[in-house]
Amino acid sequence: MRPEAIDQVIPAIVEHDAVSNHTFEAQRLLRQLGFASEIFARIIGPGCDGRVRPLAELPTGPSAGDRRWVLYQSSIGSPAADAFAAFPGRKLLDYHNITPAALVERWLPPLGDETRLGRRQLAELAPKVSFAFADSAYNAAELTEAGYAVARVVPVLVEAGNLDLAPDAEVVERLQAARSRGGADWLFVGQLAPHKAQHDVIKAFAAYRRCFDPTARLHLVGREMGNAYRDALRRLVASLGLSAAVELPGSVSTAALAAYYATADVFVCCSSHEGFCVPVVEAMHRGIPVVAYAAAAVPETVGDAGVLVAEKDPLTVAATVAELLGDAHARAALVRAGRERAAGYSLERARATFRTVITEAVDHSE
Amino acid sequence: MDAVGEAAPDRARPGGRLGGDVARRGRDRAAGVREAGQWTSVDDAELDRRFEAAAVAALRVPALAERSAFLRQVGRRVVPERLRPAARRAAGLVDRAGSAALSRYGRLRGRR
Repeated sequence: MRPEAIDQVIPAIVEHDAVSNHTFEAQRLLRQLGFASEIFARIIGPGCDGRVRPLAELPTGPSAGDRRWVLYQSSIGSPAADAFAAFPGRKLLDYHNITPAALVERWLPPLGDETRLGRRQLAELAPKVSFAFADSAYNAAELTEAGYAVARVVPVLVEAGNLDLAPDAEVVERLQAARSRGGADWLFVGQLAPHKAQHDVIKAFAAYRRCFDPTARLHLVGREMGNAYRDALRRLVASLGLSAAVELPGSVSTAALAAYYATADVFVCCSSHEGFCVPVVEAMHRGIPVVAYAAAAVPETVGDAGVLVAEKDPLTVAATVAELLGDAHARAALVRAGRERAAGYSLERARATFRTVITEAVDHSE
Repeated sequence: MDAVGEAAPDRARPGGRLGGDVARRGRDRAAGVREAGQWTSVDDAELDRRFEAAAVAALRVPALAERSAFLRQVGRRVVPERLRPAARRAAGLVDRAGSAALSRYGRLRGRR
C-alpha cells in the first residue's frame, strides 16, 4: 500500500556535510512526490534547528507504521539505527558507506568503535529492510555482501553548480598574488581525517617540490575531524620546512571554496577510503584535472575523466602530477572529460534517479 | 552515468585511456628520477619517519591533557588543602618522567 509519509532517520545532521545535504534534498523530493516527510536525528547541529526533529519524537506506537515508512541514512554506528530497527513500519535504507575502523581508531578510538558498530548494525538491519540503495556501485556492492536483497544506486544529491557563484574576492586576491610568483597550486578538499590521508598528499607534495617544482603550493581545505590528526599534519608540514607552501585553512565558506577551485591547477586525492567523494565531482565541474589514488569508490566517481594511480608512493604521485601539468593537450582533454563526467552527476539527474528508485520501492511493496 | 538505478555491477573500473596514459608516463618518470638518484628509498623512509614522529607527538598532547585533568580531579578529592603545593610539585616531576613512557605508548597504539 502506498504510504502517506516517508520520514528519514539520520544519526547526526550538520551544515556543510554531504550526507546531511543529501538528506535535506531527499526530503524535498519526497514531499514533491506527495509524501509527508520529516527528518529525525539523534544529533542536530547548529543551523539545522527547526528543520529537523529529535529522534525521540519518531512515532513508535503499534500503528505508527500503518501508512508511514522510514528511510535510514546510514554512514556510522548509532543508537539511531536501533530506533530505526524498532520502527514497526516498512523500512528503506540509503547507504553512504562506513569508514573502516582501522583507518581512524588510532586517532579517535571512540570513532573506531562507532564505525565497527555501524558495520554490525548494517548487517543486522539487512533482513528488516525491504528496499536499499546506495550512492555508488561500490557501496551497493557492500550492501549486497551484507545481505541486502535489493541494492540500487542513487548518486549523492549534491549540486556542484553551487560553486559557480562569484568566488571570495579576498581569497582570490591572496591566491593570485602567490600564483604570480610562479609554481603550481595543488588542491584537496575534504575533512582533515586520517582516512582521507592528507598526510599522503603532503608527502607527495614534498617530493613534487623537491624534484619538479620548488615553488609549488598545496591547499588542504576542510574542517578537522579531531585535533590530533590536524596537529600531526601541521607538525609534518613544519618538519618538512613547508609551512610557507602548505595551507590548512579549515572549513571555508562556499565563496572561499569557489576561490580555491578557481585558482587550483590540479586536484590531488590520496584518500584510502571514500564511499563517493563529492569534491572530485566539484573539481571536475570546476575544470580542475584530477589525480587520485584508486581506492574504494574513487575510481567509479572519477571514471575515465581523471588520472588514477594504483599506489600512493609519493614520488609516483608527484611525477604523475608533473606529467599532467606538463602536457597541455592531456590536461585540456581531461578537463573536458571531467566537465562531462560532472554533468552526469548533476543534481537534476540524481533527483530523477532518486524519484525513480522511490517509485520502484513503492511498486515493490504492492 | 554508470549503473545509476541498476543493481550493483563490478567494483573495478579502469581509468580512461588518456588518464591511463598519463599514469603510465608518471610511473616511468618516477622510475627515471629514482634511477638518476634524485629521489631514493632513503627519502621515502624519511617522509614516513617524519610523519610517524608528527603523529606520536600530536597524539601525546591530548593523552597528557587527559591524564593531567584526571589527576587534578583525583587530587582535589584526596589531598588536603595544605599539602596541595607539595603535591603539585611532585606531580610535575612524575609528569616529566612519564612523558617518555607515554611516547612509547603512543607508538604501540599506532601499530594496532
